[in-house]
This record gives sequence, C-alpha cells and structure tokens, in this order.
Amino acid sequence: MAKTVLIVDDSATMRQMVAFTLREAGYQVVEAEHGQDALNKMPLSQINAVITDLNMPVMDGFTYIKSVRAIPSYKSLPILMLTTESQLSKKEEGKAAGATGWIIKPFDPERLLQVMAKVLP
Amino acid sequence: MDHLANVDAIPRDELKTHVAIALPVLGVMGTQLKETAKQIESAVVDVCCKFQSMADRARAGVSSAAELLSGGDDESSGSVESLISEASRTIETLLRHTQDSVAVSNSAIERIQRVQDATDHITKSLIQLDDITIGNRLLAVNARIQAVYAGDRAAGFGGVANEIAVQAKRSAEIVELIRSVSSDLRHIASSALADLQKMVVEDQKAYLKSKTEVDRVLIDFRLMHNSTRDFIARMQNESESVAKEISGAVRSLQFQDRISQRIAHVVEELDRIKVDLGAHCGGTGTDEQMILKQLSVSYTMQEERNVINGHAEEIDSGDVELF
Repeated sequence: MAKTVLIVDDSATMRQMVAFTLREAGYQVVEAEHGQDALNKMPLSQINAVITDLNMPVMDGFTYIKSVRAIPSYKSLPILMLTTESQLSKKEEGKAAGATGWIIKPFDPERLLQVMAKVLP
Repeated sequence: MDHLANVDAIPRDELKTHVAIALPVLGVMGTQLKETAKQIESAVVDVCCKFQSMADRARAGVSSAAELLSGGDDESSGSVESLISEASRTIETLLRHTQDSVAVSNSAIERIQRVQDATDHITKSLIQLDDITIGNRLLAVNARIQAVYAGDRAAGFGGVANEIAVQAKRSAEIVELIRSVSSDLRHIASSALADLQKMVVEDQKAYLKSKTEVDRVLIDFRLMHNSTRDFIARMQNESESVAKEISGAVRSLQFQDRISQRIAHVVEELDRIKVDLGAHCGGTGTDEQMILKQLSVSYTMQEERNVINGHAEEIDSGDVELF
C-alpha cells in the first residue's frame, strides 16, 4: 500500500515540486499551508511521514513539530525539515524540537527520495 | 518608525538622524535585489538549457527509431521492410525447390512405372519363349522318333534332334534366368515406386504446411512492423508537440528578463535615494552596524547574510542531514 506524506509549506510552488517528486516515486501526498493547517489535516489521513518548512505564517515549523511530538501516536513519526536555513543553531533547535532530519532548499529530488526511503523503509 | 507618523512635528535634525539610520538599509536592500535578480537569471538559464536538452533527446530518440525502420543511409544495412521482402523471396525460392523435388520424384515414379511395364513385356515375351522351348522339345522328341523309324539312313537326323533338345534345354535355362532377373527387377521397382510415392505424398504435405506457416508468419511480421511504424509516427508527433510546449515554456520563462529590468530600475532608484539622502543627512548614522545586525535577524538564508557580512560563506543548498 502506498505511503502517505504530508507536505507543509506556505509556498504553493514548493509544495507542488515536492509533491511531484514524491508522486513520481509512488507516494501519496497531502498538502498543508502552515503548521496549524497541517495539524488540522493529520487526523483525516494515515500520515506516514511529514516534510515541513520552517518559516511559515500562523504556525512555524518548530512550533508545529513540538505540537506533533506532544501527541503520543506521533512520537516516532518521521518529520523532515525542508528549509533555506543552514545555520547550525537553527539545526540544533530543530533537532531539539523533534525533527528527524534537515534538508536545505533547493532540494535534489533523487536525494530527497533516498532520504524518504531511509526514513520510510 | 511609527513615531515618524507626524513628520511635520519632528525637528529637522532629529529627522535627519532617523533618515541616516535607515540609509544603510537602503544599500543592503539594493544589493539584495541585485543578487536576487542574478539568482533568478541563473535559474532560468539552467531551466532553459535543461528544457532544450529534453527536447533534443526526445527528437533524437524518435529519429533513431525511424531510421532503424527505414534503414538509414547505409544501403548494406537494409530497412526492416526490405528485409521482410528478402526473407519472403528466399522462402519462396526454398518452397519452389521443394516443389521441383516433388516434380523430379514424380518423373522418377513415371520412369519406374515404365520399367515395370517393360518387365511385364519381358514376362509376356518369356511366356512366348516358353512356348517356343516346349515346341522345340516336342520337335526334338518327334525327330528322335522319326530317326528311330528311319533307321540307319536317319542317323544324322537323330544327332540333329539331340542338338535341338540340348538347345531347347539351354534356352529354357536362359528363359528361367531372365524370368528370375526380371522378377527381382520388378520387385525392386515396386519397392522403389512405393517409397517414392510415399515420399512425394509426404513432401507435398510438408510443402503445403510450410507454405501456410510461412505465409502466416510473414503476415504477422508485416502487421507487427506496420504497428511499430505507426507507433513511431505517433511518437514523432508527440515529440513535436513536446518540443512546441517546451518552446512555449522557454518563452514564458523570459519573464525573468522583465523582472531583471524592473529590479534594476528599483535598485537604481534606491541607490539614488541613498546618495541624495546621504548628502542631506551628512552620511550614515553611527549605529549602522547595529541597524544591519537587526536586519540580519530576520534573514533565513546564508546568501542574505553574506550581503550584510560582506563576505561569501559557502551556500550549502541541497544538503541533507539525518539526526
């Protein structure tokens, strides 16, 4: 059965590109515009992994991850950050919030799929 | 900057100070815009090149397939169609040879039948010779009897009679020999005839079966070839459509040029404002570094910070790290 990935990004273009890459590889995709939108959509589908941006309106990526990790059933859900941020301090903050990995934009589709295969064997 | 809402109430010197504080920001904004325009240009060029490469490869692929079907420029390689025709001709020749063999076999059968007829004729002749031999024997017997009746005067006659008997016996032996040979010959001819007739029937069946199969295979091959050719023609059309769409996309991407121009105009104006205000305010404020540091807090990308820092730290886009 196809795995479902939730894409969280305020940029429609970025969501489109990530969705295209994942769908070509056989994943199903759910999209959300920011952290709160993602939290609202998560109970509606069986989400197997999340790819989220950091800087978003309404609810940013770090706040979203902390909220997700507070839900017991999502404690080990793979959550990858996909962001332009490359500062070490931000990465540490992400790791502390509960992120599974950190990908710097622009992403390489092949590398993204390799990482997805690793976190979703 | 809310306190600047009522500008007319602000003393001139204080206003100059506020403006001087904001001046560095203008410079940075201008540089950010220039860098952004360059990035867009670079990305668009990259996309165009890749589109072009995609179009070229699509065309090359279809062209190669079409060349394979048509045989290309090299006459010795032969097109698929000419190969089908050549195979068809070769198979027709082979089947014709098979038919010729059947004809030769039929001719041989005919000749063997004539041999059989000849042996029949010989047998009939041998029957006549038998009659002659019997007649000669009777003659010899009669001659002996007459010789006895004739006494001494017909002594020679008795010798002739004996000789006739001997010759009759010899001719009877020869007749028997010829009959035996003729019988063997007839037996061999019958056996060969039966074998040949059987072979002709089997060859004819095999020829008809092979011809039917070959015809079917050639028809299937031709149908498949026609399907392939139609498919490639469709692919050629698709490739042309893709190339047209890519051309359309490349045209659309030229928005980048208009954006670059507009950004350049904005940057020019920002630079001019900075120079003008700087002249009126007597240069930038002493808190420039603090202002710029505050500005960098809002930045989320290394290339933005590089503009403020004045040096180019490596931009590690695409990097992946699993915690």
